[in-house]
Amino acid sequence: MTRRTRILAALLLAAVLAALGAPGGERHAAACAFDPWRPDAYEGDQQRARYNAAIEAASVNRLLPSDSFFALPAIERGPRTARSQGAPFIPSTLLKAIAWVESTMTQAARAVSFDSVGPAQISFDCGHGIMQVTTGMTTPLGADGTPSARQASIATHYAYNIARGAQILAEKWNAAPEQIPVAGIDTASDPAIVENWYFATWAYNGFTGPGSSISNHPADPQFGSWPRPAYTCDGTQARNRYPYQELVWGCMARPDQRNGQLLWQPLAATLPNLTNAVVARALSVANWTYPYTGMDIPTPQPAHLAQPPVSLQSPAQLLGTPVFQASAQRLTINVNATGAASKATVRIHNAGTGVMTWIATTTDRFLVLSPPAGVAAGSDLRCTASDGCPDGSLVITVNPVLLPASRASGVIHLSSPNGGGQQVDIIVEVSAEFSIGAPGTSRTTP
Amino acid sequence: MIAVAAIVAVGLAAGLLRLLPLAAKPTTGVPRVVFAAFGATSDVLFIAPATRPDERTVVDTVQHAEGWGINPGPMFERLLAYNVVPAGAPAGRGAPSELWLLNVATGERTRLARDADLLVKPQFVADGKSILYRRTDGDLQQVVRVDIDSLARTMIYEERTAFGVFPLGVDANGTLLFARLSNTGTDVLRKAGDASPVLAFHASDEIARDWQLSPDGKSLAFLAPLRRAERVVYRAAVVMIEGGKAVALPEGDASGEQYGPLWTPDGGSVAVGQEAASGAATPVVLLRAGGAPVPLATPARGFDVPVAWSAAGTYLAARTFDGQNSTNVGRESAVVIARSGERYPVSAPGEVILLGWLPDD
Repeated sequence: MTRRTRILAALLLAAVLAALGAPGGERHAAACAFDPWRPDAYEGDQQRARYNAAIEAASVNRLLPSDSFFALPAIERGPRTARSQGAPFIPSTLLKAIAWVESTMTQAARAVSFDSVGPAQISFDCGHGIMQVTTGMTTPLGADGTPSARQASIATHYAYNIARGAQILAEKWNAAPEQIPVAGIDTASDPAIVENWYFATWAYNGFTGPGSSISNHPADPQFGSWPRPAYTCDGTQARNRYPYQELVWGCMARPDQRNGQLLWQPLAATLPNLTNAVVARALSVANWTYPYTGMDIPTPQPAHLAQPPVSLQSPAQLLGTPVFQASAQRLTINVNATGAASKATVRIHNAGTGVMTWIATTTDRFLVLSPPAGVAAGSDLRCTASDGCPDGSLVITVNPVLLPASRASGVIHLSSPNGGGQQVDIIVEVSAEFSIGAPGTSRTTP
Repeated sequence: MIAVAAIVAVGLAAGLLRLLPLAAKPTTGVPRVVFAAFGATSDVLFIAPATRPDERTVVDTVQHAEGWGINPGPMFERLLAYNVVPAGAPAGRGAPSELWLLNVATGERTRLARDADLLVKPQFVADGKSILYRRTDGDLQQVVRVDIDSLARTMIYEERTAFGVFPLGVDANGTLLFARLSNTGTDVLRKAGDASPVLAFHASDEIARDWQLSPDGKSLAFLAPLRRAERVVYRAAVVMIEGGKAVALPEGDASGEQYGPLWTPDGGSVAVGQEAASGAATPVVLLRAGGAPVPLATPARGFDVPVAWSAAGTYLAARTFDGQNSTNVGRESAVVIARSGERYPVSAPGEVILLGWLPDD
């Protein structure tokens, strides 16, 4: 029996590996949480109305306020030596522009249609989704080396992705003055002033430079010949000419349009004036030493005060009430001699509303789960032109190379982080017993 | 592709696009400017007569990662070297880019490396037989020389740094020149063979930029920030590499910004752009030690930034802005400025990237 399994394994190895090849074809610098697979994500409307509403709620901690992992923290303010905590707040236009620069405000890969489900957007450096969340997404953080439920939410669900991205930006802000400089030393570092987010925005992409390959220092000679015009955010200028924060400032001021409508209200925030002696002295290379205590700057003028969103959708409207439905079941997969990867499919249904994230895990490594996480759309969502709509679809494939024997069984745990606490176990029986025949020969298995 | 289609459509509609064979010589004998039109997913490279930039011929189309255009170094005769993040590859400034060599006259393209830093421009060495580029692994930066014929690569300098090193070229003695940023500012160093690098001169206590090696390889022109009244402005400087002696240039508007120092092909002068007064226009001037500034044709409004001279020095390709200075830049476009006084706009739907010139025919 063991010898036969080995023969099977050898014969099927090439075909199965080809069939199971990593999706998307993109190279990753390092393993990401779901590598080599890619979870499915829900992509909202082309006008980004759903995403903008979620961003506005996140900007004042009205999206997921009761979940400490996703809630917006208190925002520090005040002078370097006397910081105090204030209400959670990020200018929503800043978040929208960051989302645009990061991903053109899309949760799924570019090939995925709006109002549908498809592979999540994951960059080479493990940036996930709308906000290209990298922190905590570079390795699986769940039990037994599997992705965690939080990672699944960030990868698949726009609201959790936006909330986490906003929280990370808030953490960058709060990293001043201990780790990054303070912008707005003359305005008590008021977070309602958009210009005061200059260093936090820089840090969102990496507080790097000048001269490094991922520099964001505005005086870095790498950004081409001086001077440079403002970034227009309309696709007519190469991004290589701009530090990250100037891309964001440009997109705040000049949002793209869809169907003749601006995607958000423009906000022409002011960049630091590099010819201003105070600013130039602060950004001097002499000050480029952690924790950058000499780099504090006054608020760039004219300054712009960001107002909290006038009308917010409630968390119930934004998130819906997803209800996880999947049947505990016992499946049998027969691996045959043709070399084709045998598979089974499990449907996951959302009996409620909103986007429901699901995640599937197993410790039985011969069971390959694709996608390892995904979404199911509720009855209130548009969901078209996709195999994964509205129900989620988990395809289970057997990797015979890793079978412990020609007959084996494994367990898949299926659950939803936001669809109720239920966990469904799927038992998979695998049979890889068959005879191998070659032309002109005859063999009987023992 | 959309950008390409748009360019072609506009050109055909206007009756301006002439699909000449690449090797065809212009009938008028004027030098041909080489430029690229940035597109979201591809940059289209053109050549056009200096006096008729709309009569452009497509040289090549370079596909690239969405939003990330080519980063070219200065041309050497008919050769163009550029970094690009290829289409379909991971995008981002930290992603490894490819270094390509293009013979603009023949359209022949060769990939020289796949590990270049996108943002650091490649530099030809003086004989045009090899190219310097930078690559990064973590905090380790390396300057690499790649031989164009054999494609052999040699790492000639490396340094662990939180800042950056920038290859500048090879001086008159065949010695590698590079700029190095640190907490003390910008230094220019020389490195001969396996010897340790030696300081050529300290360029600035801050970040100096826009380096230009003189045609004879003996001097460097660059911009360095200086405190002037209430402002910090970039001013052009010229320093002799041997001995590190600064060359005094005419001050002109001593309080104003200067842009894009560029040696004339004969090495006798340095062209610099200069900021404009509000609502006014200011020309590029040619600065020569001991001589009066010589202005070129003035823009209708704003100021110009020199990019590349034609081989005989009769035309200057320049970026032009309708604003006032680096704080109020205005809109950017491209132009060819004739020494005889005319100005010829170089237009495209997207950003124009001026690359250089083909040698005069």
